[in-house]
Amino acid sequence: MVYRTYIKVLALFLILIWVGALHASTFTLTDKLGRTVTVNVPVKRAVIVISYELIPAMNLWNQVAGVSRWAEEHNDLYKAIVRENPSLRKPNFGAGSDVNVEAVLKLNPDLVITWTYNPDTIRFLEQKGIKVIGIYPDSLTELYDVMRMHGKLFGKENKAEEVIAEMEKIFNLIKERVSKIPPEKRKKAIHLLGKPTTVSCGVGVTNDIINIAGGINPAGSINSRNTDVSIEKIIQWNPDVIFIWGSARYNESWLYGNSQWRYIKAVREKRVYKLPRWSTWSPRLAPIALYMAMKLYPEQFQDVNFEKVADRFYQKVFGISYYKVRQYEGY
Amino acid sequence: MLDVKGVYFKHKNQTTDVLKGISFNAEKGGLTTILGPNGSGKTTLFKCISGLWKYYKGEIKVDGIIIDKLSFKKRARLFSVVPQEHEPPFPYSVFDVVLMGRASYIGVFSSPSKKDYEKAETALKTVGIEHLKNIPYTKISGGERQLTLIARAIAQEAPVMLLDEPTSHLDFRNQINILKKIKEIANMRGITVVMTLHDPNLAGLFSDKVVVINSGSKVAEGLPKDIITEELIKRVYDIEIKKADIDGKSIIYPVL
Amino acid sequence: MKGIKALIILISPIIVGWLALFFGAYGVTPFMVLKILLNETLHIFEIGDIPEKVIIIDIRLPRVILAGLVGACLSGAGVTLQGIFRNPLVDPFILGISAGAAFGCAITIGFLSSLPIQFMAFIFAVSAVVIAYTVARTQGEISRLPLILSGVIVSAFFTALVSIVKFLVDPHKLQSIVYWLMGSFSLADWKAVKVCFVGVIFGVLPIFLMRWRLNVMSMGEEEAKALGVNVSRDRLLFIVFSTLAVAVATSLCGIIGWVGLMVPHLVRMLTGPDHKTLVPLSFTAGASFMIAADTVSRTLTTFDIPVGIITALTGAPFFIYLMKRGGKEAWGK
Repeated sequence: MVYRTYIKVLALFLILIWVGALHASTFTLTDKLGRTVTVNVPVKRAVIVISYELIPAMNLWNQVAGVSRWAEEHNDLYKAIVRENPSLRKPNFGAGSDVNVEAVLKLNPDLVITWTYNPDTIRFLEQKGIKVIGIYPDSLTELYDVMRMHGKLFGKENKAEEVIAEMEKIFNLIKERVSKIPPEKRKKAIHLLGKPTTVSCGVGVTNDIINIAGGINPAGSINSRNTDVSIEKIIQWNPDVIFIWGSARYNESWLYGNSQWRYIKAVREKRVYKLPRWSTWSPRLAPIALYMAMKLYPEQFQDVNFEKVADRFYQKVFGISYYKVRQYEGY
Repeated sequence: MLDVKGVYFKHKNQTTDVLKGISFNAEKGGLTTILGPNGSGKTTLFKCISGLWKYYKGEIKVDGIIIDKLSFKKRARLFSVVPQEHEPPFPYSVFDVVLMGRASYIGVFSSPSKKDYEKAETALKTVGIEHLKNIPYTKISGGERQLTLIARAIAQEAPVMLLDEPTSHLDFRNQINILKKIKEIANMRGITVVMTLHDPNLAGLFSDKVVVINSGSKVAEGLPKDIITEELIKRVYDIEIKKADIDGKSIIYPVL
Repeated sequence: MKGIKALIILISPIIVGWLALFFGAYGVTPFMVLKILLNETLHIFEIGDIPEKVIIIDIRLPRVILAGLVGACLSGAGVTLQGIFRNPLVDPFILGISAGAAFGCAITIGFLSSLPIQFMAFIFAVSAVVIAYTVARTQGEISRLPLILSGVIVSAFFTALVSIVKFLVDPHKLQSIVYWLMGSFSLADWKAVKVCFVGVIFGVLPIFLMRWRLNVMSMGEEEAKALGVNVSRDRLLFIVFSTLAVAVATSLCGIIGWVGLMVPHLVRMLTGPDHKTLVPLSFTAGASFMIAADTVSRTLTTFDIPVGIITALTGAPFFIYLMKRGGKEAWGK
């Protein structure tokens, strides 16, 4: 009699474990395009189109079947790592904006993680029976979500948390120094994109890090990712500091040499800075924020050596030295 | 005035000649009609004379000048062409259209001068349509349009005026009016008029000379009353006719 | 009546341009605007070195003038090509100019960063038309249909090349290319005005001088030849001059559609088809329209709305209204 109860309990227990195990091996999420995707985890053969910096960050090498051509051709960090360790090289299948579907299929992936730049590509891949997740982080929180999602997908939740923790270390350093500054002493900063009159607005990671760095983005009230404005508007805003997107075709000297911009405070005081040419959709967002903060409030960071902090971050997160990666920046 | 000698013409990729050695001449101040059925080569001959088609064998001269190597500008000062009336893409006024006749006198980078405007005015008066001056060309009747194109040819001040079937789109009344006007212009202003017609009666009534063409060859040339005979019409048009003389004029009518 | 309409259209750019100087994101009082202008021209009213001066003299004034010149170039090219192709619904991009300019821009941004975009856009815009013309020529004498056809082919070709560039280039540069392709005057300065002026001298001015000939040419090739016009040569000249005007304008401010198509058509409806008046009025109407559109684009909201959107949004309904009111008249018949 006791046996029967015992067997019932055992059976129940076993069933619970079995169900639990079953449940634990799939993961359902809603991606940026609002699509619901269910994936078997951990993912074993992923194709990474845009978030390839997370591969070294979370040590996903053995679970990735292919990366976008851009990774090796345009990304300094990725390029540095695979040049140093050629065995890590991954097949590629085309660029992020146009995916060669046959090449992707040949890699036999169980998941494709891409950005939502071209929703048609995503739909197309889906129709061919491939699971696709679309991402487009529009804030720091979203970026963390994307990183955690990668963690969950690849069974590397801990690694994801570690990376986030390292990022938070830098953000905290910044916050700590910047919180001392009273509101009236905060600096106005704008971030210029492909054209000198195109500014980053209220939506997006750039706006978030301007805020974290203690700056005020006058274009932050415009509710879009970026927009074109007239020079008059920029003069009206009169920012204290101007940041230029790292991949822009122009740099500080263009603004300094242009008479239309001369009345803007940032131009007059020669506080225009081109950001490092790094992706902002990556753990490297943290050192970029530090860079910004140091330019905004240099007096608060006198004792901080940017390169050393960056190097420490690189070593901890990516396992490679900052100085080594810099050699590859001239792509 | 206009001398056509031994003109042969064939299209680029063809082997048969459309025109087989045509020769005729048109006297100054006279009205010469080229008469012939459809497909006789009338239009081809017309295009060769007007300079549109250049690759012919033979010689075409105006007042002794060979015309085939002339520039467009020079040729336009010798020949004015009155096409069949048609609808232009834009509603130019009658005056605008007539003024275009002055194109060969206006430089590429110039606009019409006062003199050009005056000549256009005069041309309008000659033809009798000054009252239509500012009306859009697209809003007047077929007959009025044909008169406009004639006025344009007059403004062009060329010694030879070529008309391609000027009566084909017109009603009976306008046909007569137009031909009367053309004859008047030819005689009064000493312009050598060469026109193509398909109606032998009209040719007979208005022309000073008739040139009959059939299957690319000249069949006859001379005064209408001499040329237009029952026998010729039978040969060229394959129709039985009878000729009648009324008040010194000849007309033909079909035997039904 | 027609004379008054024409007069208004003729002087409109001055009025519209003048008014445009009073509008802008940085509020400058009308009084101050006048002071600054008078100071700059007549050297009265000492105002010192203030930001408002930069706004009016270095930012608004060149922007307004550039918009006017570009509008004149686009509209002038439009009316010319409509005359040559005997079709009131032809636009200045029909021969492949905009596709060529787009390619020049794409390839510069993508791979040849050291070269100036304007120059490359111009080179390829002109190349596209040269290719289109040469291809059409293989037909023997150039007439309209082969030209339109080869324009379409060349456009498709360059558009495909742009796609290839977009495909090969890194993702961030893609953005730059897209921005440039959407027309904008936000970077207008005096240098751009000077460059555009060259386009006006070598493109718009010759068209102005040759304008009467368009009447004759629009009657048809055979007729024009019979009237004494060297149609092939004159058509080539017209194409060269309009291409120059459009290529210069496009290289300075990107691709702005609709103006070259619609403005000449509107002017033709209002004042008649005689190119003697139609051409100069198209220039001025195009200038006014462009200035007005740009002023709206930079003052309606905080940010600059791409001016091509404004031209389409304002132009199209107005156009439709005129068509409906005009009935058959409206089609120019």
